[in-house]
Amino acid sequence: MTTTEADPLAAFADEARAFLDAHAERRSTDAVIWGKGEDHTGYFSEDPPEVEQALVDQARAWQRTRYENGFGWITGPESYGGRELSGVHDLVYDQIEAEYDVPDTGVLSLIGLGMIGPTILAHGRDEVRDRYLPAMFRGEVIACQLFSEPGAGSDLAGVQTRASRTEDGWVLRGQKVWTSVAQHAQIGMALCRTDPDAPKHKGITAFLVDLSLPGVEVRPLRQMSGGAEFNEVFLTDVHVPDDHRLGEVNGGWRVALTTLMNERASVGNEASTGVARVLSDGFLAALLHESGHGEDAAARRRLAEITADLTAAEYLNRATIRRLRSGAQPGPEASVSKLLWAQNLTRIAHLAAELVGPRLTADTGEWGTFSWNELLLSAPAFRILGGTEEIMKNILGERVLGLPKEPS
Amino acid sequence: MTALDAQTLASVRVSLDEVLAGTPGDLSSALAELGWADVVEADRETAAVLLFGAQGRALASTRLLDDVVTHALGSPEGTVVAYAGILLGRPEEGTEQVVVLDENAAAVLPITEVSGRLQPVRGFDRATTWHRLDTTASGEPLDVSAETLALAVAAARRALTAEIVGVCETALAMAVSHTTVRHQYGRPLASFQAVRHALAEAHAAIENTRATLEAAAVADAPVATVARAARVAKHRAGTTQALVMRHVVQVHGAMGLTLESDVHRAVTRAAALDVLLGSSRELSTRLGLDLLSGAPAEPIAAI
Repeated sequence: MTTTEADPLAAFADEARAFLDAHAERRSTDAVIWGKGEDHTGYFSEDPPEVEQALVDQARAWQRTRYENGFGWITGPESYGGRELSGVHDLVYDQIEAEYDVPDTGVLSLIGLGMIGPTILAHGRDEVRDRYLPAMFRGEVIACQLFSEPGAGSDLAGVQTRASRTEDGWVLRGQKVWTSVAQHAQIGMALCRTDPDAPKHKGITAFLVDLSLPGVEVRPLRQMSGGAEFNEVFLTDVHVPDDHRLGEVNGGWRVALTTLMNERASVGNEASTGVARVLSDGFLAALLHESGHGEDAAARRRLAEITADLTAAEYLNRATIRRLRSGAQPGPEASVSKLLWAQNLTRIAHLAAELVGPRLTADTGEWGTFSWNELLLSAPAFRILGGTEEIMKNILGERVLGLPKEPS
Repeated sequence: MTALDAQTLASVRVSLDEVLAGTPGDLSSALAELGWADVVEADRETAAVLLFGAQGRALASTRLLDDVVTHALGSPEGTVVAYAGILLGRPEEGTEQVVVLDENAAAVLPITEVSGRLQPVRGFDRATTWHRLDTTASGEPLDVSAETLALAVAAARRALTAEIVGVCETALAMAVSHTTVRHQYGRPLASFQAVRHALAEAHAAIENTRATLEAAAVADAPVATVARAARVAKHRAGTTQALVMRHVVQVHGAMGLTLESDVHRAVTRAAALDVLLGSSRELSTRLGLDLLSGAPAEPIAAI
């Protein structure tokens, strides 16, 4: 990235570099070497609980360091320890930080800091904002999203978890599912039905729930890829004070939209270390050589096609960032990026499965063979998480191509 | 990215669409009237993307691509180009020589050796004026450096990519309008998810290719990088047109297969353009070989 003296971001970028130089090592730019180091390819964590806990602790510590040095909440208000800078500054910081070897803070940032923080800021009462926002951005409090239910996924307006009035607040009763990071979280943002008679999205209210309250139970949801990234969260007569309500009574849909707007922009730009390895320069070419397909013209063409598509997707992301830099609002291109991201990773998984053959299904200890099952088993999730492909295509069809609405 | 501001770009786009949608009888004077030379002067690369995008949208068949190549090669006036043996039209009066252009070589033939060896291409796309030069014509090697040749091929591939994107835009617009107007089972076709999802996929592919083209149009990179980026772009354009046309034809129903509907014009044009200077299949073979011999895969454009 180049900066010029005329670029108002240059000073900020220099400051970010100075901070990172003082607190982190530069990431090695060496290409991944086939046969060396880890060979994980998965998107979801499969680490045993104690390893995962250590990673979460590192993430918290790094977020605290960022916060103490003025990079914890770049766009946030100064009163909560933020810098009141633009989203572009945020992007610039992320780009620079990617050059350094720092702990992955996804467990805090993807949902809590990225989506729920801005929602609390926009819709929370002062008590709640004062209590949680600085703690979240210091890395002390992790937040999760209690949105989806067994009967309401993409069609979120169908939530059935009830919140009923008590003298001093509310009592929550119901079940949530697909809750990422709930096993590490201290708070959750819950969408609950407060008026069962109102049409779908009109009778919903949003609450911030302290997960240490009696009646909250978090159970891991184990996936076929091996890990348990998601959870079920059971809410059995959980008493929530009224000041933990976000937004108006029955006004929860508006609150949820604030959260979701911040979600789609982030999916598609996030890669686990396993996926980053798969996408790193030369890794797929090495797979072709190592699996004995270096001379296989058809496999070679597929490698080229996938690589061209990955390059194209990267160009699209960069074009989006350029547009944001020149002051444009985030638009439906986030949906395009997400579609392509899922498509490309799925094709990589299928190519790898073909090349590796039977070694994909039995762990023989051979480096870079059985490990591809992680990507293959993660891939279907890419087409679902953060808005299913079907929803994305509906959005593109209606909002970009201007197609007539579906009958409701 | 460009010396031209957004407003100028938008108005140039509209004017170009008008010029190219008209009868391309005297294209050069229409472009001159538009002040095209100034646009090219300001930013040659953006001008090419605009011009070929408009040509694609209009489904027009012209010889504008020759200008891109002859400029890049520094050929004299009166030069036309054969793309691996294909000329985009019968050479006009005053043409003096033909440059036969390939990925790795260029040769030059005096027009006197060409005239009797041209046959109109009777193929897929009935609307082109393309001619084929018989394969016995060889000519003298053209005196240009390998870098110049690579840059000329890359410039032509970017222009072709822009044109294919334009053809795809027109095809998608036809599909949007057809499926919005036509009702079945009491509702517009486009209100059925199978239809809207197909069109959304086509849109995503087009936007992705457009971004690739934008990135490939970076002038100040090493020649090998420029060449690779143009190869990636043209390859993407080929796979994109295949996907877009498949969906567009399908949502038109059987009428899309007839000459009554205009869809065939986009389908055949895009398929023909895919073949020029390397089909997506040929380019993927080349890209694959490069990757396996250690060429970097990383994108080239800075943010």
